This record gives sequence, structure tokens and C-alpha cells, in this order.
Amino acid sequence: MRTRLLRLPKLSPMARREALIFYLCISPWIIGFLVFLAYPVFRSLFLAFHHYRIGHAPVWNGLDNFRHMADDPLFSKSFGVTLEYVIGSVPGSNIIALGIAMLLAQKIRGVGVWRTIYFLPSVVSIVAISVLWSYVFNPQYGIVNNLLDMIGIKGPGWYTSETWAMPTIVLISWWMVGTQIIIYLAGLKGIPQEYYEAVEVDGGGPWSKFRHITIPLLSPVIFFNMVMGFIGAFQVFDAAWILGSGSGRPNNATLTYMLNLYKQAFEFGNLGYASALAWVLFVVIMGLTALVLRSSALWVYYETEKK
Amino acid sequence: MTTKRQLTTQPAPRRWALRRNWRMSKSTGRRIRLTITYILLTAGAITMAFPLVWMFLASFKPEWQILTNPPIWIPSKWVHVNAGDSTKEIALWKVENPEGEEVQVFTIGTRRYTTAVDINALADVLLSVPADQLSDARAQTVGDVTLNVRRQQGGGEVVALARDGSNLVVAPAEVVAGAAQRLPLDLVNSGARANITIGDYKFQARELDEDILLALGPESQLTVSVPKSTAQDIFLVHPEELSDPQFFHIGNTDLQLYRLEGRPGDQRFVQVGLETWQPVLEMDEALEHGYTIPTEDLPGTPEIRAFELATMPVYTFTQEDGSEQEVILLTQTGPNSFVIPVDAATTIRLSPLEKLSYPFVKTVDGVSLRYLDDYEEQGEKHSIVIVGERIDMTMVVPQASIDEAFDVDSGSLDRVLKVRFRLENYVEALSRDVGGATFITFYKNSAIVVFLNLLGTYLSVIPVAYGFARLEAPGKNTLFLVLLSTMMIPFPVLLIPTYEIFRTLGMLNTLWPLFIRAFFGSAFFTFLLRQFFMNIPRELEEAARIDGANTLQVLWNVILPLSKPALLTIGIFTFWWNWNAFFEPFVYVNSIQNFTVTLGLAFFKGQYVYNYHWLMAAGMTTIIPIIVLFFLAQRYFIEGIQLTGLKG
Repeated sequence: MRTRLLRLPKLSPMARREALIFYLCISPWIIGFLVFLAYPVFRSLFLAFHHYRIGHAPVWNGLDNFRHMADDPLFSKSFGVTLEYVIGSVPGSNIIALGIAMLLAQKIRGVGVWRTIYFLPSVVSIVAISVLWSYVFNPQYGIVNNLLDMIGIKGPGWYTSETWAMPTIVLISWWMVGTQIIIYLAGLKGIPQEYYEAVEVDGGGPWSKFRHITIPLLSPVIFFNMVMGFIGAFQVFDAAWILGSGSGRPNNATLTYMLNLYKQAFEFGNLGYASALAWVLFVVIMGLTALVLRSSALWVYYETEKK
Repeated sequence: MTTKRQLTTQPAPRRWALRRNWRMSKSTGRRIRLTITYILLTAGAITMAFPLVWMFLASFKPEWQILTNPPIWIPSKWVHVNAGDSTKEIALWKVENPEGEEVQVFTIGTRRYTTAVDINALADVLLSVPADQLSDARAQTVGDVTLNVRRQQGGGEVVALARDGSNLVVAPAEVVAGAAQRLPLDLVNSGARANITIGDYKFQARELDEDILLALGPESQLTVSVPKSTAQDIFLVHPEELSDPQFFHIGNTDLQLYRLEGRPGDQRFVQVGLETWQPVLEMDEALEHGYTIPTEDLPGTPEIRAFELATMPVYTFTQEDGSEQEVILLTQTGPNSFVIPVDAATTIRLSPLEKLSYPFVKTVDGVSLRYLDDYEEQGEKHSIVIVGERIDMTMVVPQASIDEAFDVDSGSLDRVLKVRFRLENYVEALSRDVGGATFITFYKNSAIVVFLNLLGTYLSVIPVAYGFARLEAPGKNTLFLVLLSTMMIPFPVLLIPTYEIFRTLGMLNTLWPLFIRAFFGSAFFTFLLRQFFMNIPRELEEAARIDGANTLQVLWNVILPLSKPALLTIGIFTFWWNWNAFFEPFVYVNSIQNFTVTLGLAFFKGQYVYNYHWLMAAGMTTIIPIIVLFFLAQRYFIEGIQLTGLKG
């Protein structure tokens, strides 16, 4: 520490003053970082290896929390449910968003109006949307089943059916794709028009343009949207809580990972176990991101623009 | 042509030809592509907008239109007509009259029918069949009658007549149809019960005029309908006024016909309906002229007297000065009676019970009065007191007025509807109790949370971003890397320790956890603002410094005015995220008094699971602020997302 302190006087008085102002300026963040980030990270890592109930002292239990997951049926159930959601939601919503963005990128009239309509579902809270979903997908008299009935299809029980509960929640994510659309749209706008013209000159049709120009040049954006999608999807909670009446109904079909974590921590009071669950989720998300990142070398095309 | 044919083997011209061909079709191709684009965009836009539009419409619908098949698209209300001078509203229906014109009617009587068969006629064709070999019953018209027909596996169409253990006793549909007839249900039920055995099978039938009738269903109903205009002739009578009951037929339906006591002439009246009524009185009149007397001062039996619009008990009691006073008894509480002189009671009338639900109570002069402040009568609001006893009144109409009556199958009646957006849903939803609070509280909380988050974010992010953008200090780059890396930490990892911190600070169940962290900077917004600050030319800042401005003045006078777009983006995102936030408020706040709108909506749903008209109205109010914000500042939403998406 002493050597560090001795380094400061080497600065000129002006520079010292500036450094002082700098640290003064960023002091809110430093306090926030220490109290609400650094400490919680270490504390939660510490708790993950302890048996801990609120009001009691944490008791070291080594890897017990993690071992317990192996034979905790709720853990495997919630992991499966979440995986189902991730697999259903991320690719699906990205395909839909990319499709819409490509339509919007054409030379069409009233882009602003179209964009507004497509973005609107994404501004409202998922809670309001889930409440709306519980009405629209009401198994008996909801408008969706009514319309299906009109064309002679008997609609499923949606969020009340064990098979269909998660797909119903996936549908919400397919519907709230405004953010992805805008990111794709910005990406598409960044592709130089000459590339497409070059394909036209070579006699290529729309498919070649899509396959050989759009996809490679958009791949960094696709990559970004996928990673953000995975991170968000693994933490799905709001819609599952509302549509599953807060208890993973029916028969834990909507018990997502975060819902299980919440219940472990705040309903059963197993704060140590819940911390371990949080770290497992963190590792899974990081692992998956790393995997996508590694694989990105194979399919993400970065333009090397070195001036 | 010949030269060209020779040349086709050459590659270059061939490419030229292809291109030429392709160019000719280019404009049509583009047009087709554009058309497809527009079709897809429209289809997509309908899908996207539909749920929100449906929510909007549902938020204005009365409860009965919420879950219907087929769906009702436009919020509307049932149209009613007033029964004569009374405040009773009678439902109007649309139906084709015998002349084939569509008319608006109300109904004055019904009769239920069923298909019945003489069981003896079927003795030879009875068969016992396991129930699982029969399909579900389906109403089907066979010959002259409608029957519940089932299909037998490997057999024909049959009608089930009775149970036989796990089997059903059936007879071929055609034979049943030949022997069955449609009869009024009350007629069939008026027969004596007859438990009869034919062969091995037992039947629960009715004996009527030597026939053994078995009611098979399906039941149907005939309704007597009269044109809307007849409603003005309806009036209310006390059941005791009715005498000399007779029946009279409209089509196949019996109607009750009465004479009225004390009414001159040979006029007969048709009973339209029975209804429980409650006398009511204008509040002002009751308070001005009514007074309390001991109940024991009232003589034993009252005289039941019919006033213009109501029938009330009238007592004659002797006042202290010896004069006699006729009073109407309005209400009694214990030993006290609240009365009003007959002459002063000019506004007593009857009100249908359905309009008087949930009255308020207040005590006046030793008696409790039940009252309503917003009693609606023919479109006007009244303040009324509920007085006297409930009375079952009969609605009658002169026989002469219903000469246009006809009877129709009840299924062919449709309610008369009028488009109406029911704003009351919003008032009701927002004033509804959610475990001890209402949405007004949730709005207040959300407003506080959003405001303090905005304040905290600006106060912390601006200096931090400025520091990282403009100032030099040892360790700055390392700290900036740390700042960036904190964006990677998913919140579940922080959740439990953060909960502990708030618990230790005694902040759980308050609004503090929902905004306090905003005062300590946000990595994401700091990054966003720093990038923006970096693009502001340093020369501007230095010019200000030469003029003697200090850091704070530079920030306030030079940097911030130039950073409006970034500051707006930050503000909008702060509003957006905090208004919509659910998980964190859900974890940190348990007391309903401190709920935000999103939390409130979630619990509102828990409490009013099937009251979708309220749920949708409440939901609309929670999303309207965000939608308004979005329309006002769409540009910043989109630029903000592009910024985070492409640079983050």
C-alpha cells in the first residue's frame, strides 16, 4: 500500500487535481460496485457452499448443495422446462424477427407505421401480456380457441394443459420480438447495396442474395441476438409465474428455473441451496455463451476493415 | 437470326442475353415481390396487433360478452325498454314475426316441451346394449320429432330409453320417431309417476290418460313474444288485486289471464311476469319530512294502501295534540320507527331489486337508513332511501294490447344490442380492493419509484460517465474494464445477498429497494453516456475552461445541453424498465400498500381470475403510460436499442 501511495506525488499538481476529481466523479459507482456487486458476488459464492436459512448462521456443507441438485426432482424438472422454453423461444423468435426485419428493409411505404405496430407488443410489461394471454388463450371461451373452432379445429387447453403450458409461454416470446427486429433492421441497413447488385449481375435470385450476402453479413447481429436471447430465456420468470398461478401449474409444467430458485429461496427459505442454483445457472449461461462464441468462428463473418 | 444462332455457343453474348431477359422482367418481378411483401406485412401486423386490440375492446365490454362463442367483437349492451311507468327494464329481443319481418319484441311467457313416447308401443323392439358400444347422444330431427339419437357400433341409429346396469335400453330411432310426439313438459309431469317393467327392463314413466309416457328430451321452449310498443301498457299490481284466473292460448303456450279487483269494466289482464320490488323514496324528501316515533305508538295493523307507484302500509296514529295523522312506515330499527306523513310522501315508488345491490347505511335519528347515492332511473342519477318491505308484484298488460302476440322457439330469439363502450369497467377495476389497496395506490408507488430512479440515474450516471470520458487518472482504464465486465453478471447471482442487504437495512417491504441502487450508477447507462460524451469535441470544453468555468459549470453549460438525445434515451429506458419491472419488486415488496402497478396487476389477476373485463381494463391502464411514452419518443427507443444492439 505504501508504494502505491508514494506513486501519486509523482503526478504534477494539475494531474493530481484531475485524478482527485475523477475519483470524486466516479465515487457513486465505486460505492455501488462494492456494495451491490462485488460483495454480493462473493457472498453468494460463499453461500452456495453453505446451509443457510435467514436469521441463522451459515453452516459449511461443502458440495452438498450441488450434490442435492442431482436427486432433487424439482431441479431436473425446472431445468427441463427451462430448456424447453429456451429451445422453443430463441430460434423461433429470431427467425420471426429476422423475417419481419427483412420485410421492413424493403423499399416500402410507411415504414414508421409498420415498425410501430411490430414493436408495440414489446413495450408493454410481460405481466400485462401474460394477463392478456390468460384471456386470449382461455381453453374454453378464449378467442384463439373460438377462432380455431370456426375452422373446425378443437383447440388445446393451452396454459391449463401440461403439454401446452410451456408452448403457450413460448408464443409470448415469439410475439414480443420488437427489440430483435430493430437490431436486425439496423444490421440489414448496414449491408452495402452493391453486394446485392453484384449478385444480380451474376444472375442470382433472392435466395442466393439471402444465402450468400444477408446471412454472412448479418451473422454478427444474429450471433448477438442469439446470445442475448439465451441469457434472457434461461431467466424466464414473469410469464410463467402469471400463467402458472405462481406455483408452476399444471403439475410443475411451468416451473421454470427462476421460479424454482425463487421458491427455494423465499418460500422454503433454503437460501444456501438457492445461491448454489444461481451459480449453476450462471455457469450454464456462461458455458453456453462460450460455446456459441467458440462456434462463431465457424459461422460468424466479421468484415476485416483495417484502415 | 442465323448469326445469332451461331453465336449462342459463345459464352459472352449468352450472358448478355440472359441479363437482357432478366431485365425485361425486372419491373414485374419487383412488383410481385412488393405485393407479397405488403401481404405478408399486413398479415403479420394483424397478428401482432390483434391481442392488444382484443384487450382494448374487452376492456370496454360488459362481463357477459367476455367469454362467448361465437365471439362478440364490438362492446355493446343489451337494449331494454321500460315497463310502463315503472323503472323495471325489460329485455328486448329480435325475432322474425309470423309475417317474416324482423321485429323487436319482449317475452311474456314460455312453455317448455319435451319429446315423449308411449312405452307400450315400443315393447317389441327393446334391446339392452353395453353403454360403451354407443356414441354420444346428438339431437336430431327424425320424422316429426327431435330425438337424442345415438349410433350403435355395428348397428343403426338408436334412442336410449333407460339404464340397465351398465347397459342402456335402446330402441331403433325410426320406431321411436313413429310413436313419439312433442308435448308440454308440465303436461307430461302432471301425470302420475309410474314405475313400469317391460320384459326385464324397468322404466320411470308417467301415466297420462291411460298412456304410459316416457319423456325422452331434448327439451325445447316456446316463447310468447309481443312487439316492443306493448311495453308502455304494462303496469304493476299487487298479487292481492288479481282475481278470477283463467288460461288463454297464444299458439301452443298458455298465458294467465286475470281480472283486477276494483277496476271497472270487463277488461282482462295478462300476466307478463313476477318480480320482487322494493319501495324507494327520494333521500331529500325522507330527511326533510320523515321523523322517528316509538314503534309502540303505532296502532296494531296497518292499512295496505296502493299509491300511484307503490303499495305501502299506512298507520293512523294520534299525535300529542290529539289530532290524527296518517303516516307511512318507512323503516324500523329496534324500538324506533321512521315514518313520513302520507301527504309528504310524493316520491315513493318501486324499484326492481337488481338495482339496489350493495346499499350504504347511515344512522339518522335513531334508525338505520339504507341508501344509494347513484341510483339510476331513466338515465338520471338519484339519491334514494330504501324503505318498507319487499313486495312481489305482478306485471300485467291489458289483454287487448297483446293482439299482435305470437309464439316462437326460444332459440330463435336474439338480444337487441347497441354499441356501447363500457367505461365503468375502468372505474370499477381501479376502485376494486386488492387485498387492502387499490390501483390508485399502485400508481402512486410506481410514479414514486420511476421518479426516484430517474433522479438517481441522472445524478450518478452523469458524473461517472463524464469522469470516464474526459478525466485522466491512474487506474482509470482498469476501472472502466471492471465497469464493462459487471454488465455480464446475471442478476440471479446477486439476488440473495442483495435481499440480505435490504433486510439488514430494514428496507424490505418498502419502496427503497426499488430505487436506491439507481443512485449508485448503472454500468449500461454509464457506458452509453460515456460514448456520447467522447464524441463531443474537446475544443468546446476547453473554450469554456479558458473563460474560467469549473468542471461542474462545463458539465452543466457545455456537455449536458449537447447530450440531450443520450440523456433522453437513458430517461426513457429507466422509465420503461422500472414501470414494467416485476421480479425484483415481487421479491423485495410483500405489503400490498407498497405494490407497483405491475405487482398490483399480478395480484389483481390472482384475486379476480375470471373477471376478465376488469383484468383487461386494469391491464390497459398499466400499459397506457408506456404506450404513450413510446409514441412520443419512438425515435429514442429505437436508437437506444440500436446502440445497445450493435455496440454492446
